[in-house]
Parts: sequence; structure tokens; C-alpha cells
Amino acid sequence: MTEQTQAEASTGAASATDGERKLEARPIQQPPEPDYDFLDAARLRLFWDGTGRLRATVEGDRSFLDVNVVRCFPQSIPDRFWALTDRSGRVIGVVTDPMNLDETSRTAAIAALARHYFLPVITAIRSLKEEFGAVYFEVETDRGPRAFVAKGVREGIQESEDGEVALADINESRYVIPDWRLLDAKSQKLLNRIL
Amino acid sequence: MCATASRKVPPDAVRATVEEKCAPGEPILLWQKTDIGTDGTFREQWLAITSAHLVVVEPDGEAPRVAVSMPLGSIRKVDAVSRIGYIALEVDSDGRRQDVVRATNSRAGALHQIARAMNERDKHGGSPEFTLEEEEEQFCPKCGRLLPEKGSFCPSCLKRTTVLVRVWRYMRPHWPKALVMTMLTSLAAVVAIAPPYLTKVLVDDVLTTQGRPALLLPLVLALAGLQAVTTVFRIIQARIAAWLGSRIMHDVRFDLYQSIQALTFRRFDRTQVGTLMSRLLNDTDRLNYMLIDLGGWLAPTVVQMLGILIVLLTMDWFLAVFMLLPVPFFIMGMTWFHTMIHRIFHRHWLRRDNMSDVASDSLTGLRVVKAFAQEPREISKFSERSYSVFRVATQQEQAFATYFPLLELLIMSGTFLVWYFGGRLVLGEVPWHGRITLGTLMAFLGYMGMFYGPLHWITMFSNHINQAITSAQRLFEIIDAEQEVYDDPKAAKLPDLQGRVEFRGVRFGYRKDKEVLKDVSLSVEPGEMIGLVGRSGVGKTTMTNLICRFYDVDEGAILVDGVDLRKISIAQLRKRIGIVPQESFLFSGTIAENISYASPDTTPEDIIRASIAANALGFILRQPDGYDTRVGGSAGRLSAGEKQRIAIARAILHNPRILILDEATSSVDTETEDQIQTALRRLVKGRTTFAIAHRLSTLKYSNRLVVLDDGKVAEMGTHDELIEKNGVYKRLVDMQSKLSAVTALDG
Repeated sequence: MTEQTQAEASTGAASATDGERKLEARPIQQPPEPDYDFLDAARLRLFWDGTGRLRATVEGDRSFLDVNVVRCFPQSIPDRFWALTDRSGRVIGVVTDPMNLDETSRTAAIAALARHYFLPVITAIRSLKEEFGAVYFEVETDRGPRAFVAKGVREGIQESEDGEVALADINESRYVIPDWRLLDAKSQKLLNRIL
Repeated sequence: MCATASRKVPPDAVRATVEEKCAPGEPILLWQKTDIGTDGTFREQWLAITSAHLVVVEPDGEAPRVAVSMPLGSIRKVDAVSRIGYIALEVDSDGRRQDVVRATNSRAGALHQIARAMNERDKHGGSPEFTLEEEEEQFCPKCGRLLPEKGSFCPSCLKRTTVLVRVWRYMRPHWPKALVMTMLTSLAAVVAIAPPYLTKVLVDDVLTTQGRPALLLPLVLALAGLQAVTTVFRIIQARIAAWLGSRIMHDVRFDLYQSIQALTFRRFDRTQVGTLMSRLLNDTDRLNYMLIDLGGWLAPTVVQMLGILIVLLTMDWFLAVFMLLPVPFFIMGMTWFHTMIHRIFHRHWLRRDNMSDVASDSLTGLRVVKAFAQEPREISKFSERSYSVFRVATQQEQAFATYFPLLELLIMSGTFLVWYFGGRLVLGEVPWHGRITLGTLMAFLGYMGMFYGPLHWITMFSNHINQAITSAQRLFEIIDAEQEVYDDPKAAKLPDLQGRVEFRGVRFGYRKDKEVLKDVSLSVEPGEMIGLVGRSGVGKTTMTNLICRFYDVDEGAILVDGVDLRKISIAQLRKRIGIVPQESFLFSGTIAENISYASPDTTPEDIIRASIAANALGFILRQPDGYDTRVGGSAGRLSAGEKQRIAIARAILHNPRILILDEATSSVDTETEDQIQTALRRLVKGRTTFAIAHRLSTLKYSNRLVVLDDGKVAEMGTHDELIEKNGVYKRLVDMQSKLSAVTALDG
């Protein structure tokens, strides 16, 4: 409730009859404020403290000693809406536009993101074999060549309408093909067996 | 130098590099291979922990590189940190934190165990003690294929004969029927071969100008008789096969269900109920088809085909060669066709599944769809999926329409060859080969039809048999799975259980890499009521699961009346434990049957007495059929509170010494809760009780409250003592007070 509506409520209570006053006199219980909110990028400073910990300071407010940076929309809007969490995963706040962070803070946040995510991008499929329900992949990724096994097409492979294919292996390690239509012809042909 | 814990042996160069970093004679306690470099690329690294150092080496051919080296003395804390897509071993060394190794999640269990051993090294004189448990294999050690479940069998390396022998063992008690079936099969096969030969006699000796017309009727009668005999044999043989198949299935299902009931909870966690149901229904069905088809159709057909082949080769080997000529090509073609069509089938199945997912989503949530006016969006989504089904369905049907006739044509080429060369033999145009009669050619063509007919079914059958054998093995896997030992002869019997329960340094996790209880110690006197308090997931239900011995502790012990649970007969123990769960489960049956579920021989008086104590009599009598009202499954419309009171009556009747109330009042309104609370107070009287409740007010009658935090007992005492302590419990109470104030106003 805004300040204005609160004021109106109290005025209304003062001018009401007794019967109404009983109803109006109930204390208005405000829902507790959320513990976190959007953070103003201009007031936020992020830096590595020299002991391997990322520190966050909201100017004129508080400082957090050991934070992590997490993307709210890792696939759809990876470059905006970065959340800060503490070590136990509790949310500190969300930065809507990290590009407005100062240079040092942005570099520190990007390094924290790089540490947090390991999502190899598949650039080519060398071999794809489906046997007894499991799918065996040999692929090239931006992190080097890799062989992995997905447990079944339904469980391990998800295709989005925009051509993105997300794969998860049997140990829940993840891989992504940003747009399968942009892969080479052989990779597409192999992938087409399971899509 | 001795290595005590290792999952893989490192290359010599890596070992030498580590040894260089250590003092002479310094033992290497652990080797662990990882698969992501700290630069974020896939690469092999080796973590070595010696008695004094932690070293990480990156093998780079002959000259491995030391990535990290630090004395153990500088390490304050080690954490296995799960991040998105990988896991890291994070070390706090002299106040500075760094990832020493990173790995894909396949190494998560190992890294967690390493972190724990490192953090507990003070207990072992400063040197970590690694007892890495061998994780169950994910891949077949023989062929490297993924196993359907960890530690399970490989469908590819499966010894088919072993499985068939085991299926055969089920047939042994019914051997007389099996023998009759085999004899009839062979006889039917032999008899079925005769008619084309009689056709030959008919054409050559009767239907010619010099023939003997008197033979016509006897020959036709013989043909009809043979056909009738074959038919009778086949009917009897197929009926026996059906009986045998179904009977064996009954025996297998019985063994399977018995085993499922006795499965350990760990195994249950690993195998979902859906999977078990699928084994009980689909796998047994598949095996049944094989037994019936194998016994009823395949076996006689193969015997008959072999017989025909022998007859054809004896009749005329020259023509037989032409008949056999297209067979290998046909088999190759069919195999290729099956592989190809299987892939299309699979795609079809996937897309249809996707389509029904969309339909089921939007139909189930129709109110929401309509309320938000999203019909056009749902229609377009469905249309897109339906179109993709249309495309693959067309592809599938067109493949059938194209390749099947082509394969037919291929096999028919044998017939054309036999017509041509056989015709020339009849006309005497092949000088080096004697003349044959028209009857011989006709008989030959007849046999050919009998031989070619089942050929393409047989090529498909190998696939079916493989599937059935895999199904059989899946069934045997459950039948052979680790089971709870109900009646261990060495187990202690506890006829007069007092109900004293003690947790002694209990550690436990459902997964090896995630401990839920970390060193829990607690002593409960007989008849005492303990309220277990703490956040969700802190291990309250886990504690009660351990008391029931649904799982065994990883470390430490739980004692009942001073005896380790593992030394008590499970059946005895559970007879003395009662549970009232959050969601009461009623079995299909009457209310009376449900109340007396654990004590079937009880009297109606006892049932009524228990219902009175459970505050249940009133609503039971409001049902038109009283105690005979059918509930559970699709029958009955009892509310959550009513079901709960039936469960309480069941527990009262069971008369347990140890009672577990797991959120017993969380799914009911305040008024019903009050009635249930009264019933519960009657129930807990004189019994050792462990009660879990989110609403802390429901625990007000507990003798003691045990507050769990981070897998340990954080606080213990009465409500007042804990409030005074101003710790975890006080915080929980404050939070609930705020919440209930808001709820009261909203309500």
C-alpha cells in the first residue's frame, strides 16, 4: 500500500461511526518487505578481494563479503538480469542492466559468471549412435572435443522452436547447440535422427 | 610408496612428477582423475594427496605440468562445490580460496568424499583417511555401452542362452505338456509337408491322358484328411503353448511381485514405481508373446521350413538353387528396412508424444487457458505439433508402401526363375539335366510358397526375441535384487519392547555425495514424546525412516532397548512401530478392513473402540454403509481429515510401542485438526513418539523438542527452555507467529 492510501485509510477510520470504526480499527498488517530487490548498477561495486572471494558494496548501504553472480535468464536474456547471491544461495538482489556497472565491477561479475557456468557449446557432431535407448555423442565444443552419453531422447534432449537444442548427459552435465540449422550438413543429418 | 585409494592408475610421468614434489618416502594417499581444467576446457588432470601435500598435475605427454601444489598444513577447509554443469574442489589455503580441480558431474560423488575426508583429517592425526567407496558402474566394462541403470546388466553383452535357460527352468514343472507340444509340433510339420507331394501324384498320375482316374477321389480325400490332421495338431499345440506361456508368466509375475515387496528402500529410490509397474506389466507381456509365439508359431514354422528345404533339395537341387538365390538378398533387404523403419517409428512415437503432451496440458488446464483467453495460442501450438506428426507419419507409411512391394518383388524373382528353368526342364531343353514332370514342377512351386511365406516374419522375429530376452533379464534383475532380510535367524527377537530409542553418532545420506544427517546423537526414554523441529529437508523424516529401518545408517548406530537395529528382525521391529503419515493412504476395501489392516484378526469391538479413540466413529456412522463403506482407489469420498482419523484408528489398533507422526495434521483445517489432536493425544499416551509438524503449536504436548539444523541436533529442550535460549527454535516460532498473524487477517 502506498503512503497516500495509508493516509486515506486512517482518515476514513477517524470519521466513521462506532460500528464501522470497529471494522476500520483493525490494525493494517503490512506484508513484510522482500529481503531483496533490484540493485542500482550505478551504486553497486563488485571486486575480487584478493582471497578468491567476490565482494559487493552498495554505496551508502551495505557490503557483502562473499557473493556469487547468477543469470536470471541464462538462455533467453543472458546479458541482463544478473542476480547476486550469498554463498548459501540466498538472493541479495538483481542487477537489471549489468552493462551500467563500472568497468571493474563488470569485469569482476563476468569472471564470476565464467566460474559459475560450464555450458559447452557444440560446434559439430562427429558421431551419433542410438543403442538400447541411450544416445552416444562424439562432438566438438568450444571447450574441446568431448564424448558423452544422453539417457534416451526424451530425457536428455530438448529442442526449442528457435532451433536451440539443449542436451544433458547421464550425469546432468549440459551442452547446448544455439541453432542446429547452422551446423554443418553432416552434423545436421546425424542430429536429425533424434530430433 | 603406497597408494591407498585410487579409482584409476595415473600415467608413470604423472606419478613421477608428483613424487618429485614430495619428500622421499612420502606416501601418496589418493589419486583422482578429473576431466575439466581450471581454464574451463575439457582436459585430463590428476589430483594427488600425499600425507603432507596436495598436488594437481596436468599430463602433457612426457612433460606433465604441476598446476597446483600446496602443503596440507596450509589447508583450512575443502568444499566440493556444485556449480552449473560441473563440480569444483574448492580449497581454502591460508585464507585464500581457489578451485584446485574441476570435473564434470560424473566425479561428484568422489569429490564430495575427498572434501569430507580432508576436513576430518584432524580426527586421524592430521593425515586424511580415504576410503573411497567404489561407485557402481555406469558403463559396461566389456563393451563400454551405457548400462540401463547403475550396476545393472548390459543389454548388448547379455548372454542370451543363459536367460533362455532360466526361462526354461520355469517350464520344467510342466514338462509333460511341453513334451506333448514338441511332439505335436514335429508331427504337424511333417504332415504339412505331404500335400504338395500328393499334388504332384495328382498331376502326373491322375490328371493325364494315361492316368488312373480311380485315384482321384482317394487322393483328394487324403489331401483333405492331411489338412484336417494338421489343423487339429496345430490347434492342440497352440492351445498348449498358450497355457504354458500364460502359466509361466503367472509364475514369473508371482516371483517378481514377491521380490518387489521385499525390495530395499534404497533400491526403491533408484527404481521408480513407474519402472517397476512397467516391468510387472510390459516386460512380462513381452516375454509372454515370445513364449506363445515361439512355442505356438515360430518353432513349428522353422521345423517345417527346414523340412521343406530338405524335400526341395532332394526333389531337384538345380531348381532349389534358383529358389534360394534371392533369399540372402531378401534377408539383407529386410534387415536394412527394419533398421530404417525402426528409426522412423521412434521419431513418430516421439512426435506423437510431444503432440499429446500439448493436448493434455491445455485440456487439463482448460480453465486457465480460457480464463486468460489463450485458446488461439494453444491451437497454434497443437497445430504445429500435429503437422510434425503428419510429416513423419507420411514418411513412415510411404516407406512401407515403397519398400515392402519392392522386397516382395525381390523374393518373387525366385519364383520366376523356377518357372523359367523348371519349365525348360519339363520341356527337356536342358541337355545335362534329366526331364522332370509337370507334377514335380507344380509341387516345387507349392513348396516354394510355403517356404517364402513365413520368411519375412522370421527376419522380424529375431528383433522380437531380442526384446523379449532383454525383458526377461530385466525381470530376473528385480527378482535377484537386494532384498530386505525379514527373518534373519540370527536377528534378536524383542517380545517385550520397551521403546527406548537411541541415536548414536548417526550419519546418513540418500546419496553418497549428499549427507542429510551429520553426527546425530539423541536418547529417548520409553513413553517420551519427542517433537522434531527444523526447516524442510533438514532430516526430520529421514530420522523416522531410519527408526523404521527403511534405510541403514551410513555411520553410527540406532539402538532400540539397547540393541542395534541391524540386529533386530525387521518384521518384529515394524510390528511394534506405528506410523501416521501426512497423507493417509487407504487401501481399496471397507473402512473396517482399513482400520484392521495391520491386525486382521481383530474383533469388531476393538475396531469400534479404536475409532472412538480416534474421533472417527461419528463420520463413519454418517456413511450409509458404516464400517462397510468401501474406500480407497476410485471408491469413497472421504475428506483428508476423515482419512487421517482412519489412519489414527489403524495405528491405535496396531498398538505400537514406538509411534511416528509425520505431519499428521498438516492437511486439515483448524477444527478438524483439533479433533485429530485429541485423537493423537490418546494415541501417544504411554508410547515413545516422534512427531514432526511444521505448525509448532501442534507439538505443544511433547516432552522435549529436538531442533535439527544443518543435519545436526542444534537445540533440545521444552518449548519454554528453547524460547529462553533465543536460538534457532525461537527464530522459527517468531517467523510462524508473524505468518499466522497475516493468515488470520487474510482469513
